[in-house]
Amino acid sequence: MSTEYNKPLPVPQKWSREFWKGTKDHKFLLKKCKDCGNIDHPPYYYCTECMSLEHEWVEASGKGTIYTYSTTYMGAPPVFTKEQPFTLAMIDLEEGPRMLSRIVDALPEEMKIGADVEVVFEDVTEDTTLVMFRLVK
Amino acid sequence: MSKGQFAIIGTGEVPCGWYPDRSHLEIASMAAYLAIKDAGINKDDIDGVLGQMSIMGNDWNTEVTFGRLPEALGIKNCKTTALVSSGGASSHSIRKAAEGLLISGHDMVLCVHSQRFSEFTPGQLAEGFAKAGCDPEWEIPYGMSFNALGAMVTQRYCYETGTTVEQVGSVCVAARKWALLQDNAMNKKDLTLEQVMGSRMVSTPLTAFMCNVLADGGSAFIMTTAERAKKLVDKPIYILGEGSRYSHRNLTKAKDLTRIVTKPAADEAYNKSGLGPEDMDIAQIYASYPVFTLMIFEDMGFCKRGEAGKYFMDGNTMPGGKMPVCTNGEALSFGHTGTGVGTALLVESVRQLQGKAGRAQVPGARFLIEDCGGGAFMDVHCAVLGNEIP
Ligand SMILES: [Zn+2]
Repeated sequence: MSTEYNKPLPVPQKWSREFWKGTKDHKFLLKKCKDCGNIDHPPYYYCTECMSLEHEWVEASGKGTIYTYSTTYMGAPPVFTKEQPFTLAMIDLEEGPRMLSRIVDALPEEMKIGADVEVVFEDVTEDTTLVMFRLVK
Repeated sequence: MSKGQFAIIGTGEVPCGWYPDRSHLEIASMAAYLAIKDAGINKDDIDGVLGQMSIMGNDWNTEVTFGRLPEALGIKNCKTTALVSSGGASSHSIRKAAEGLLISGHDMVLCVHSQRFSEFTPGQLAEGFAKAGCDPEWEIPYGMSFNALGAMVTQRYCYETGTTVEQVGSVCVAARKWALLQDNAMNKKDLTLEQVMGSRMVSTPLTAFMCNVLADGGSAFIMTTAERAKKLVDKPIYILGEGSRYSHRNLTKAKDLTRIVTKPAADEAYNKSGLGPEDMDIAQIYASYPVFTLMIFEDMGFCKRGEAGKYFMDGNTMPGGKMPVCTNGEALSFGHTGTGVGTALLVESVRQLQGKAGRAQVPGARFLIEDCGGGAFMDVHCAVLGNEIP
């Protein structure tokens, strides 16, 4: 944890505050529609399937597989330059949604489409915890 | 729009590249001047002026919003002026706006794009494009960039189709061959596949030469009804059929990441025109990253899924090849002018069909399909254009 964190932080919408509250407690929550069961990630104001305003936050298993990935060696936005190379991936969550995140503790050559990953909580500031993933080895 | 209801009668374009001494208004004025002269019309016949939103150049957007263009261009009879925005798909949205004006009391519409990236540092551009292309809450905090977006799509497309990274790289070689035939292109030196593959790794599997380069540039075109166009110019270029599809904002929400949404849009454009891929003399594809050229080419019906890589690698799309693709060199070699990549391709399409494409001219070109798209590959707009109504 660093007080000099200079990278962009998520600016939650009213309807995503619960998500970021959850990550602070190291809980990975997804917004599920109470009427049709659809999970929206990213979450939006109403359910993007049935327009219901009724929802609950369900805890995700934190497990998923890599749909695609890329290791960035150069050209990242300036505040991320020092961390290069780093690996980004799209992860298909067990619950259905696909999300973008960072893969930590993996060598670029270890990355593979279809590989199993599990969630890691990165406390980047006192108030913000990002959801990242690591390979299940 | 019915088949061949609208036509483009003139185009203008400025050199693309790094020109810090050239202002937005200068680019717009030069492009408009050339388009009016090319059409051979009286500027006072124009009664609508539309400006394309520029990306990152917000002062210019404000200028256009506040009516700079008609005053600066001396469009005395202007009834309506507006800024049109839609990611990189502006060549489509501005055309739709122009058609709206033409069916509601306007005679002739001038459409202008102007973009200046040279006022920004490379870091500002990387950040600006990350902000534009990626989600501020769910992607940017992880270090997402536009190149990483293109890279992830490439990775998945190669995985699903067996296409090699070298085959993807061959798209860049072909684009450069075309750019060498274009006086206004940014890149003036030949490029080999060895150079593409050997350049520095940016985001796996994309090397530096597989990523587009931002540039200053601009172009303009004049649109009117087909009926009016026939009286004004020898070779009006007709819009014969169009199709559009939207897919997503965040790439994780793409309906199909390795096909985007080209096929239904292309099929619709073909159906409306009564023509098919076999009738096309050229394909003008908005890609920005070479993998999109391959997947869009396939979904436009020119190759089976997974076969475009070999087709490009074999040189079929290069000058003199069976099926010319991106005859101006596209974002990869002509230069990436933000929202103007599609407009530059549209302008080049018109030049080709009018027989005004100079050294890049495809002999006897009659029909072509062009597409543009915007955002983080959020949509696809296909149009079949022709110099006759079949
Ligand atoms: Zn619902």
